[in-house]
Amino acid sequence: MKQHNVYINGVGSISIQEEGALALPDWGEENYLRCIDPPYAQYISPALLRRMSKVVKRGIVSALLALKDGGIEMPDAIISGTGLGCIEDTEKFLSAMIEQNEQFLQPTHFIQSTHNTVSSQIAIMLKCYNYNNTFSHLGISLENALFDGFLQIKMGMLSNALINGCDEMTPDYHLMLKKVGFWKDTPFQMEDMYQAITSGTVAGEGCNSLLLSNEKNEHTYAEVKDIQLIHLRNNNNIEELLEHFLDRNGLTLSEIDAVMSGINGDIQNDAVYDKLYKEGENNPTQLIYRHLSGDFFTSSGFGLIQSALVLKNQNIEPLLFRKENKKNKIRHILFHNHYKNSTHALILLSVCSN
Amino acid sequence: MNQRIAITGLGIISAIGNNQSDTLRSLLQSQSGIGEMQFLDSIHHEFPVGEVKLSDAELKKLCQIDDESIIGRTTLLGILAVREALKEAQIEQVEKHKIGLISGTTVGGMEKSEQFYLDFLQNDLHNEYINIHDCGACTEGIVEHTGNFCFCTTISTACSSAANALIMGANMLKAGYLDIVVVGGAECLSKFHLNGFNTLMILDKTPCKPFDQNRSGITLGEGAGYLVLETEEHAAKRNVKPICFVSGYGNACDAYHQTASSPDGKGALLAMQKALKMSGLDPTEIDYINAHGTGTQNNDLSEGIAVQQLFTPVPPISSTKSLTGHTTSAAGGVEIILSILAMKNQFLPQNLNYQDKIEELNFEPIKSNMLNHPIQHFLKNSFGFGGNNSSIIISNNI
Repeated sequence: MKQHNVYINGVGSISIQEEGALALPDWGEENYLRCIDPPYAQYISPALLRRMSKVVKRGIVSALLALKDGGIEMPDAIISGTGLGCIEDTEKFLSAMIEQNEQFLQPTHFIQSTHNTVSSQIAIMLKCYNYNNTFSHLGISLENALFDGFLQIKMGMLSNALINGCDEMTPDYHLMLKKVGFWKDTPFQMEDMYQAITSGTVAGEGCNSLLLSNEKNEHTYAEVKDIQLIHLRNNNNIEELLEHFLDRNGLTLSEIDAVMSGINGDIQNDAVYDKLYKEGENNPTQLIYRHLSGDFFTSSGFGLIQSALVLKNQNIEPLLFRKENKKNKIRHILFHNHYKNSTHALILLSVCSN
Repeated sequence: MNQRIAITGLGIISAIGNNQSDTLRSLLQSQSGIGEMQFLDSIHHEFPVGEVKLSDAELKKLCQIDDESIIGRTTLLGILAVREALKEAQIEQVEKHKIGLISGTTVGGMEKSEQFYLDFLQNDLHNEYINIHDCGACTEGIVEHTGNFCFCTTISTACSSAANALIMGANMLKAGYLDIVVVGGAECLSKFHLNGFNTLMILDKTPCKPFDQNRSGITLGEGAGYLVLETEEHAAKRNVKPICFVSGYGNACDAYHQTASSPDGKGALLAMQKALKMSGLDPTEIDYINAHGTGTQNNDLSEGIAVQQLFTPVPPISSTKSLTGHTTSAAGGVEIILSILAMKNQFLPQNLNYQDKIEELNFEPIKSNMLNHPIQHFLKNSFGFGGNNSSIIISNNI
């Protein structure tokens, strides 16, 4: 089978960051920030806007930005990842159902509550009848969507694919996740990202979109060389699987210029990465992003976009550094995300010289 | 290299049976599993449902899981069906294979969240259920009790989730990322989606009547259906005889409305056309269509219009939702398996509760089981909210 190359040709993002250069946000007492909403009316008609929930608006705008950035009007596929789906509408319908004892309910929130609402609303807006899919698998949801698009472009089933990662962090869900230990209960400090000594992370939300294509052109940021999604078994370890992944791409860890990892200030989470990347003089430069995006089930979308920008611009924003080891040209970035050390995503991104 | 995708194991649980053999018996006798609500704690007893005839405690016992475990009903249904599928495919030790699980669900752990939601927000009595609320946690729960899979993910495209899981799994096999993949879906009944469908006024107060002129909505069901897929070459290497093959599949978007199907059935037509194109089959070679056939005015007309645009004449067609109820995210898995059971036993399953032809359509569904009727190829439609439409073509191994 002829294998096609896969490129990132466009990006779009709605995040907790202000427009312009990256800045370290003030995480405040709660370690919880919401998205900075763009002027939606510039992108979506007022009649449609009124009926849309926040996550749907954000998902549509980040998708439209990525398409515009990549110079594509009608994608061959729309594939989304979301950990929680449209949780605000879900909560509204659920609360009403409980309070009103299953009576006199309105359909609006139920209609918008299903996880595939963002993918489908993008399709309706674009009149896009092509492949459409949605993944919802914890902290690896976006990587699954990316993998689906990558696989089908590789095999020649698609020539491009719009990938979206969308999640909102409502106050109620934030509270629920607080109860099960997701968030840091002491004020966030930058030191947490260098050497975590407590558990928990900072809460954010966002929608990030990437346009994948089989064509290298003036829009291209980077090449997606390979993706491996791993459900860790008892009888194997991530060190071996990482080595195998690099090996099948003809690389060793010392040839990787930077690792963009899901370091988030949680002692258990970060230990998994530290074991792999911290020791050793020839190890790659370590890059981080969750102090800038906050943590949520699809926060890796923000990190993937930052990785694509680094490869395109050959410049690393100082706020992304965790540990700088090399100053060469950045040819290969290994993107590594894991969820509770149970599921891992390894994504190899490489520079494209035009 | 033989890249044909073989199906080597099936696992099913629904209102008409807790395993393949019980299911086949019900299917042959056209024995519906739809009846009055026994296990779902809703006030809406006016709607019949297709419940699995076991309580959570009985399901746990059948799964050999401690009664105290924190586990949702969707996960329990999934565990039983995945185990049955693995057993038939002769996969005793999951960790010995490059094997993945792709599961479809939308409701996830909602049937527990809706019981404990106020507690989640107001006290700490049931915090242990917070972590099993979402879709991905259901799949992880299934994995925990069925084997050491090296890949797992969850697809959530509402009522076409299981069909899209099959498509993703087949693509991963073709690309060589896995040797074996278990695909399908699981979904239990919840007050959340029962009430949701009720607000849309698309639930029938009598057992659903798909493709009937006087159809008046869905009967909700629950269940799980999983299939073991591997390349024909890989099955041969393991000395396992394929039950049948996946010949084609197509995913398209109706791009019309979040909950309604387009009047011309555009998304449905595109999905079927894509599946036929991949299979290389002519429409006349399809011996049976297992329709999405929910029993709503909107779906059955839209799907019917798409079917009769593509097929002249329309082959024997039925909606087995009249037996099981609409098992939502699991429907693709459950109904492909029902159709395979029919194919292997050479009969065409009946579309229950049908009386009068839909005026706008030129075909009628199968009115009674047609025995001694071989099927070489069948097409399965699975459509979801958001216009997520998928079609699958399965071919017999004879």
